[in-house]
Amino acid sequence: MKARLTTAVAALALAAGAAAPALAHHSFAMFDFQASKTVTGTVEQFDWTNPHTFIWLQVPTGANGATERYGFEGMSPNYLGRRGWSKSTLKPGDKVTVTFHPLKDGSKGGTYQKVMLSDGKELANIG
Amino acid sequence: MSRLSLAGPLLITALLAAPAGAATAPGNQGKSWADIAKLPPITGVYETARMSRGTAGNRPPARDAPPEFTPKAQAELAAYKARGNQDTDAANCLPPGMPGIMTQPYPIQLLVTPGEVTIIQEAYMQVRHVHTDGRDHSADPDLTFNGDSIGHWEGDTLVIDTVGLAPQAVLQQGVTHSKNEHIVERYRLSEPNMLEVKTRIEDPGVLAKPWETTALYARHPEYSLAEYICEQNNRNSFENGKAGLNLEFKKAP
Repeated sequence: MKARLTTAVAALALAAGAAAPALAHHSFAMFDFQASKTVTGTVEQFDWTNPHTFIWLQVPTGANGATERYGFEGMSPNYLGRRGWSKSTLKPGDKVTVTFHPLKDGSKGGTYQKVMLSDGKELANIG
Repeated sequence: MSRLSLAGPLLITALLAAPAGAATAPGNQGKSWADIAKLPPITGVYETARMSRGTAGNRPPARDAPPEFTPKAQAELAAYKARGNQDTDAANCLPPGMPGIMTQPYPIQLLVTPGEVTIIQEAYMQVRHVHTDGRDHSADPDLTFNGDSIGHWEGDTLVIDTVGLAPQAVLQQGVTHSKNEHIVERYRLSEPNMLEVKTRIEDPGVLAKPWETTALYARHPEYSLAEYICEQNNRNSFENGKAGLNLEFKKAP
């Protein structure tokens, strides 16, 4: 699953620079596509916006109920809306698990690969 | 087949009427809705087939040869890559222009009407107006992102000829095209629900030889084009070559 998603993103990135010009809105160079991380937390906000959706997640740090914020970029509403997502897929307060390619600079976030909802349903970013 | 045989006389008439030496024949699309009805039914919503799902199916991307650049353009490209910044003005929400606007991961809509083929791209909410009323290119066109386009039919194929591209219209990231860039696209239904577009790009000072690509677009009758305002929540903008992801939290727009 991970390999398939990574390949899909790589294909998009490749297309951006190869025979099909300027596919993507921006470079993917800031993300580490060799790495894949997973965090579980509570949805703070879901930006159903262009040019990208964003998942803002409060993730427990393990001490005194403290949390820290993660930000994840994904495909646009236009793309995801045709692949099983909607603006109400994620709501504030939802407990979800996000698998993502992290930002190379170590900031808390990246580009999400998939989201597992509390009922166990999984939704992919690119698929 | 009857569609083709009806289109035939129109085509021949148009070819005979073409001025000698013209790069393309003037439009022979016809001036009425009855004429339009005789053409292949390319009006519709399509999505690039390499990422398409559902009714029309998925197709792998064509294995096109990459563009071959002149030494001057190669040097420009090498310098661009050496800078390490792989972003373009698209990260600041500027549309890529032609030809890049045709290969976005979002649907396009073709409308064939008397005198015009209109190609609407969901990405960046762009519109290409292709004149098929028989006019030639403007003598001195303003340089624009999507260029000055005229079209005509050759049998079952719509041929679109584009010139007059602005410097910011991206030929290839890191390469500046010349004012002589010339794009010819050939559209035909290779299957009832599959639109094939063969594109040939000439730019003698930049491309060592014409760059030819083939793209397939799957028809999606169930799609409607949606809004795409890139500036709505763009967190990828860059200045002075510095790009990245803005993770400053704010209330969703």
